[in-house]
Amino acid sequence: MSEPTPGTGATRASVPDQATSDAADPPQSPASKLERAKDAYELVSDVLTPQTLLILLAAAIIGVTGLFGGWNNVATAERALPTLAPSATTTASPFALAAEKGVWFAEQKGAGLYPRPGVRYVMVSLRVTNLTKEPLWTATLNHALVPQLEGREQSGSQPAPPQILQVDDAQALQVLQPGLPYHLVVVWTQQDTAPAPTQLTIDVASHTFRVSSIDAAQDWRDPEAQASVTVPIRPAPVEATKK
Amino acid sequence: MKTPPRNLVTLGVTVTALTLGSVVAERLPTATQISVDPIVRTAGQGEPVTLRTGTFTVTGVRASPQVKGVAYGPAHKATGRYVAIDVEVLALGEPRFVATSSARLVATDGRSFGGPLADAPVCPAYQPGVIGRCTLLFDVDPQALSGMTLQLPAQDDFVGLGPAILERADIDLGIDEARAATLAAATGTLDLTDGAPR
Repeated sequence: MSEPTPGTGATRASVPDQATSDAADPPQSPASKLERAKDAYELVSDVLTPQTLLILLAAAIIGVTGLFGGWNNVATAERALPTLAPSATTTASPFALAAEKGVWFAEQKGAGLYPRPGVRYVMVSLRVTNLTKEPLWTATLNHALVPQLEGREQSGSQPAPPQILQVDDAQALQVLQPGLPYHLVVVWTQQDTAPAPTQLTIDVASHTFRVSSIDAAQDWRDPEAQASVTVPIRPAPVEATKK
Repeated sequence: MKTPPRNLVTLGVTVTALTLGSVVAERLPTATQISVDPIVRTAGQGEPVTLRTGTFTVTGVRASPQVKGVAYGPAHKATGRYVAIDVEVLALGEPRFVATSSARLVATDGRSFGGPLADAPVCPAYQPGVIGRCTLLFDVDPQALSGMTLQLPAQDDFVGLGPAILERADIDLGIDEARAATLAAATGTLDLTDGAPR
């Protein structure tokens, strides 16, 4: 027999019974929650198969990533290039080169640069040495020099490649022999609707010698700007351009 | 227990065969050598060397700081030193070209010189059975003349993909120190239009 609880008149034995009767739902065990979840899943299991759920999860991840800008193009990191003085020699693999000065003109017949409607020539003199032990095509040198030239003539969707001539005889150069010091001019073409430059900034890029990922050919690839040089450009004397 | 003589003979034959096989295998080219490395024939100046495209003989080596080539205009100056190699050609089987673009002058320091030059004479197709002459032109470092070797492939590598040059002749030009000094000090203009120094 239980003793009565002071002030209530209820006995101790009656307390659990009263609590049980007052509760709306009995507390559920983890096992019963799992059972209920299973029952709920049974209702949609024919549509939401595990594979479907994985796909939905992947789609949600992709969507959320996109919402937060995860699929935007990575902005090219603005990196300040070291600046070179005109005529200062720098090593941009596989060359050692120095850009000196430049002129612009509409024609230079002695060099085979004839007048073309709507086009002017911008020419920069350059000293270059091939630092490898093999002859190198001047195409590699083309890619090592990126002029910040407004209105540069296009060839298809790409900027028109420059002509590379030897200073001594204005002969076009195709190959740079190893270790020989070349004095060259690089000639870019510019639409004459753009203002004639008074100076020209040229980014100088270095290359990496590697095997192509498409075939077995080894070559200098992946030009990467490593310095820039700004050279003065003046108009060529008219009488000089007629020779 | 005594080993029967027959077993000893078998053992001896087996060991001998394995040894011979090993020696032969060491002398056979590897798969890489077959697929990448060219077959190299060696010769000296004035010695004919036969490749699969023809027989080639270096008959002369000339040098000059400038050249009067087949291109229009005045004589052109070399950045280093022009070296002209005169080659006699006897084509085999069909009309053949000399590998002018892929030929290299290799210096003892490992540098190789070659490739197209604006002033280089154009060598025509050579008919089989008829001796022809071709002059190869190089612009080289005059300090690297001594001991130079001409590497002349059987044909030009126009494809540029992989080892298109499968066979070549390495021709010792016989340039010793004295000859190198003479070539480096040569003056005047090489006239490649008539094959003789002017």
